[in-house]
Amino acid sequence: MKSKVDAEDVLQNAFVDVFTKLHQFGYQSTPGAWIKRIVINNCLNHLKKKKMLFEEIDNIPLVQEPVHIPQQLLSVDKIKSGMMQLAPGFRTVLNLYLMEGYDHQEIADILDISVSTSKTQYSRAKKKLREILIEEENSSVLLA
Amino acid sequence: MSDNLEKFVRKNREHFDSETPRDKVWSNIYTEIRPEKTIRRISWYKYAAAALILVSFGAGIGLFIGNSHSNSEILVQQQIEESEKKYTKLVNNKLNELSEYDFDKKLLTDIELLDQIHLELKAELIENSGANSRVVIHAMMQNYQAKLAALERILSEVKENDLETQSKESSTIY
Repeated sequence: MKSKVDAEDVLQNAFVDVFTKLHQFGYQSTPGAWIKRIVINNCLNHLKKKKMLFEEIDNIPLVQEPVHIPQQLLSVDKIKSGMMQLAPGFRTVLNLYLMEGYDHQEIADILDISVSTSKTQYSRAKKKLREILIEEENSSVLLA
Repeated sequence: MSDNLEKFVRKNREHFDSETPRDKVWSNIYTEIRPEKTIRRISWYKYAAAALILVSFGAGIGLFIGNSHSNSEILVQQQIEESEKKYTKLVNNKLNELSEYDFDKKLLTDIELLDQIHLELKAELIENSGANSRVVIHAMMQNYQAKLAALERILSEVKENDLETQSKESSTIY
């Protein structure tokens, strides 16, 4: 979610869902994981409503190469603001993999995409994030 | 295969969660789920019934565990009583044997001390029959063994003395 208001809306709806769907909780997972899934699904529905979800780009399996980001660019704030500038699709995959710790199979299930799409999206998202971080750094250096 | 971005995020994950919702969100959630209460009253009973079953089930398990616990406690108690019987018999035998001889009663102070310790241990066992009962029982058994050993020592000493006096007596006779 890009804006705080949107995030709060989604959180609110998600928790209303949690309480009204409580009887559907099947004990296949922990309550925490179940609630997390509901919140994520609400986020995704919100993104879909705003037509912000990703286009299935050419699905060429990408070699997963580690993306090295210069150490001085690795800060919580920089990464956060960099992620805000990513396309929603990229941000979603990055959020699910990097922040929420889902693996590509789980992301594929959540987003209803293939595992290889998840991997390519993730790889590209990281590269894009690196570009943004470097760009930001350069512009701030220029401004200073 | 993780790169430095992944490592960094993993290490600092909690710092990314800096946003908290305003209180308004929670009150909204509350008001949104409230009107459903009237409709869902029936299912409330279901929950209550489920809770009741759970509680009684839990209580059943609790009682079962409690029972099996006290069963094992009874077993332990029996074992203690048995070995106590065995040891008191041995100790009494020795004491009886001793009483046939004439000896310095000061020798028995050690035994009295051991008796005292034994009583203390027994009191402790009754007081907390929980976790360290094993330790206490072990200490009690050691106490008995010490008592027996002490009695044995006294007895042999007394016997020796007796033999000496006897031989002296006999030598004076003859």
